[in-house]
Amino acid sequence: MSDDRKYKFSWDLLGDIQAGRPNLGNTTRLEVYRLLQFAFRDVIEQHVGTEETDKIFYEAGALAGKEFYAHMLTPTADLNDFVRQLQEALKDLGIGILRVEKADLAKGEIIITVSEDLDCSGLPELDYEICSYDEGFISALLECFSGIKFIVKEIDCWCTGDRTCRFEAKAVV
Amino acid sequence: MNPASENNLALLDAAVKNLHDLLTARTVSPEPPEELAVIGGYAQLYATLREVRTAIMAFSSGDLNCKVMMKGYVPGSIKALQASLNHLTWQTKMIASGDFTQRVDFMGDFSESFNMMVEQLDRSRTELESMNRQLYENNIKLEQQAEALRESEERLRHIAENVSDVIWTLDRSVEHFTYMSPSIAGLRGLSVDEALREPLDQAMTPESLVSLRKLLSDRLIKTEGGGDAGSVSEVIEVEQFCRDGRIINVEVAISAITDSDGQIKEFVGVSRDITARRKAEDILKYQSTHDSLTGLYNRAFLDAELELAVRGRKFPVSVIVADLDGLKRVNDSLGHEAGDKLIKGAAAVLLMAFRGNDIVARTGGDEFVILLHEMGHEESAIACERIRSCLAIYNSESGDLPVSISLGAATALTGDEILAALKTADERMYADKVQRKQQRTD
Repeated sequence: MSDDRKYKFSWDLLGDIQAGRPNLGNTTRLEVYRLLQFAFRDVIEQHVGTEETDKIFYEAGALAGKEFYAHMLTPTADLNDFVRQLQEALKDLGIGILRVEKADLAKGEIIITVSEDLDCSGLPELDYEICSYDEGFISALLECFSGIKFIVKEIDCWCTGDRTCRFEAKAVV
Repeated sequence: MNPASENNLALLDAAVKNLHDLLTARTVSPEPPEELAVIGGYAQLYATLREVRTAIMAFSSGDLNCKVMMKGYVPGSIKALQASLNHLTWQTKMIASGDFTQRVDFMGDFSESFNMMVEQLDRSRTELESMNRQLYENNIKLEQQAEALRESEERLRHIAENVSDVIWTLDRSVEHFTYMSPSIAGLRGLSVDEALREPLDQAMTPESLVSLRKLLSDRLIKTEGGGDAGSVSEVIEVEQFCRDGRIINVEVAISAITDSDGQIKEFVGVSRDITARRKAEDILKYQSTHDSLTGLYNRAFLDAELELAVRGRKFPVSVIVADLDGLKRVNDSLGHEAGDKLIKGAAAVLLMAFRGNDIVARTGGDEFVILLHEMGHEESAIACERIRSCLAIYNSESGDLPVSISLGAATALTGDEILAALKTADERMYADKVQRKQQRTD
C-alpha cells in the first residue's frame, strides 16, 4: 500500500487536547471508548468477517503499542524498569492494572495479567476472549523493549467469566 | 409417597452426599457415581467443582502453576488469586534482584505489611550501600596508606642498608638488638646475625656499657613518669669491640620508639665510627696544650693551670722558674738546630726530675715553669736540687752540648699569692743566673 495514505497514523493525530478541550479536559466516559470500539468491531466484521476483524484489531493494537512505547516510555534494557514504567503508565492513563506472573526472557515466555481492563472489564459473558487489541498492544510493547517479536494470546478474559485478563506471550523463534 | 418420588429423593440424597464428599473427603473419584449420571448436568457440575477443589488444593500446597481451565465467576476469582500470588512471587524475585520499588496494593493488610518490609529493606540496603561505600573508601585509603608505608619502609630499608652508619633497634629490656643494618660488618667486622645474637654486654667495654645502660634507664624512668620520651635524640660515645680485637670509638645517637600511650617499645640508634675523629681531636688537643719541640706543656696550658690554682683550695702551691743558660749563644754560634737540641736537653732534665702529674711547661724560648701542687718551700727547694742532680747526670751522659739551667722557686699559701709567687720565682731565677755567671767569671 502506498505511503500516501489518508489515515496513516501519527502521534500528532491525538491532538492538542489542552487547547482543544479547555473545559472538558482529556478524559471521557469509558462507555464512549467502548461504544467506539464495539461499533468499529461490528461494522468491520460485517465487511471483512470475524477472523479478519480480530486480526485488524490485533494489528491496530500493535501499532498503538509501538507508538505508546515511543512516546510514553523511556527506553531501557532492564526488564524491571520496563515493567515498572509500563505499570505506572497503564495505571495513570486508566488502561488497566498490569501485573507480571512470569517473565523468562531467556526462554521467551511471559505471562501478564491486566485487571480492570479498559476493553473488557464488566462486559457480559460472551464465551470468547475479546481483547485482541490488547494482545497486539502488548506484543508491540514487548518487541520494542526486547527487540524480539512476540505472539500474544489472551487465555483468560472477563468476557469468558474470569476476573482478570491473562495474556501469554511467546517469543517468535 | 409414590415409588418415583421415593427414588428421586434417594437420588437427591446420594447427590448431596456425593457433593459433600467432594468438599470434605480426603480423596474423591474422578467421576461421579454412575447412578447420579441420570441427573441432568450433574456430571458437568461435579467436574467443575472437582477442578475448583483441585486448584484450591494445589494453591494451598504452594503449586501456583496449576492450570485452571474452567470459566465462570468462582473459577475466575480463583484464577485472579492465582494471578495475584504469581505476581507476588515475581515481585519478590524482583526485590531479591535489587528492585525495591515493588509495591503490593491488591492484598489488603498483607499489602501494607509487605510494603513496609520492602521499604525497610530498601532503607537497610541504602544504609548498607552507604556503609559499603564508606568501607570501600576506607579500604582505598588503607591500601594507599599501606602502599605509602611499604614505600616508606622500602626507602628506609634502602637507606639503612646503604649508609655507612649502623642503624639498629634494641628491645626495651636493653638486652638484645632486634634489628641491625648490614653496615655493622664495616664497623665491627660482624655479620648481621652475629650482631643480633650478641648480648649487649659483650658488644662494648664495661665502662661504655654502664654509661649506655644509665642513659637508656633514665629514658625509661622518664617515660614511665609521664615524661615525653618522644623522638628526642641523645648522643653518647662508647667504646666497642671489633672482631679483630681492636677497640673503636663509636658515637651513638639514640631515640625511642613509643606506642600510642607514649611508652617506649624499642630504642633506635645510629652508630658511627669516630675513632679517626677522636684521634684527630686528641692530636689537636695535645697540640693546643703542648710545646711541639719538647713535648712539655705550653704557655697556654700553664696559664689555664695557674687560673685553676688561683681558684683552687689545695695549698701550698710552689712555682719553679727555670731558664736555659746560653741559648742565644748556642743559636748564634752553632745554629738553631743545636739550640733546639739544647732546649730538648733542658726539657729532658726537667721531665727526669718531676712526677708525671706535676706541671712542667715551656713558657718561652728558653724559659720553663714547673707548677707543684701541695708543695711548700722545702719541697720546692728539694725539687730544685733534684733538677740540679738530674742536670749533672744528663750532662755527664751527653757532654758534647752541656745544659745549664738557672732556677728560682717561690711558694703561694693562697690563691691570691700565685701570681706573686710566679714573679718572685722569676726574680730568684735571675738572681741565680747572675750569681752563677759571677761564679764562672770568678
